Amino acid sequence: MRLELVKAFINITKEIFTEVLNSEVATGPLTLESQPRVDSKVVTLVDLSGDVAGKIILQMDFSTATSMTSRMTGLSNSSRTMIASCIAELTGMTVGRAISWINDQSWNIHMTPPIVTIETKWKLAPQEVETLVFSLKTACGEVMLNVSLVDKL
Amino acid sequence: MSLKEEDIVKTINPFTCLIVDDSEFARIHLMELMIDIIGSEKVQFQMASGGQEAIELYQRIRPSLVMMDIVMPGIDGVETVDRICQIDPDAKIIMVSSLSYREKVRQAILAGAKHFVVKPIKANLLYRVIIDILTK
Repeated sequence: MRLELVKAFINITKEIFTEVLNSEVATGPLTLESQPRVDSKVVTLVDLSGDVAGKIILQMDFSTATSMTSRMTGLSNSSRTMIASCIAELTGMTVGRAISWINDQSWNIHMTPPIVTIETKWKLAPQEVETLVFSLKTACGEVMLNVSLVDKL
Repeated sequence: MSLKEEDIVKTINPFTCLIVDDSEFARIHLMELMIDIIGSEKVQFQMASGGQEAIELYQRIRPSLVMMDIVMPGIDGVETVDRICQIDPDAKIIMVSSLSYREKVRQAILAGAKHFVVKPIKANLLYRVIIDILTK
């Protein structure tokens, strides 16, 4: 996995979360796993294709998703549909901006629209895909980001 | 908003804006931002959650302004702009997307978009772009 691409995802995720949530965000330790870690209630998936194939998976507890939605909408209560929509938008902004930065360095990567699932048991394909996992500590709670990238060049 | 900016807003005739985004949150957020900067008496909204719906709505209502996302299921925003501009080459379309690398911006402008606003949206930039496109 190319470090420059991973760094772009880490830096831009922190930047977007700080801007959208309007509060400090700290990054936790990075770990390298043999496949994505998916064990939370709210999971967002974006598939990547082009020069790099892979997945970006963002996950968080339901209370964190609810708190982020409140910050983004200014409302204390939101439906599950609106929570999913907010988290999808936040993920889309993050991945979109990261891909934009990467593509401006002469790469060609495409993204799918984010898919959010709430309280769904995930079954990932059994193949091993080197995944970098890191956490973001936000005022709303902790978010885990899985970055799985396979270089096609 | 400064007095000068308020005066500019007063010169704008009431208009219809079509917001195209697959995210419900994004559609509502953009509508609220526009109401904040233009005023609810100036603008009426129509919403589409995808490209095909946007093309059909555009043909029916001919909005003065279109705010268009790029990453959507089905027909993406750039393709939707291209098809709308085949219907109406004078369509006033502002792209609103986080996917903002040089080649994507170029594709959007070639398809017929007049401006590009990067998400997360900055209200002052959105204001300037809307005023620019509506006063031309």
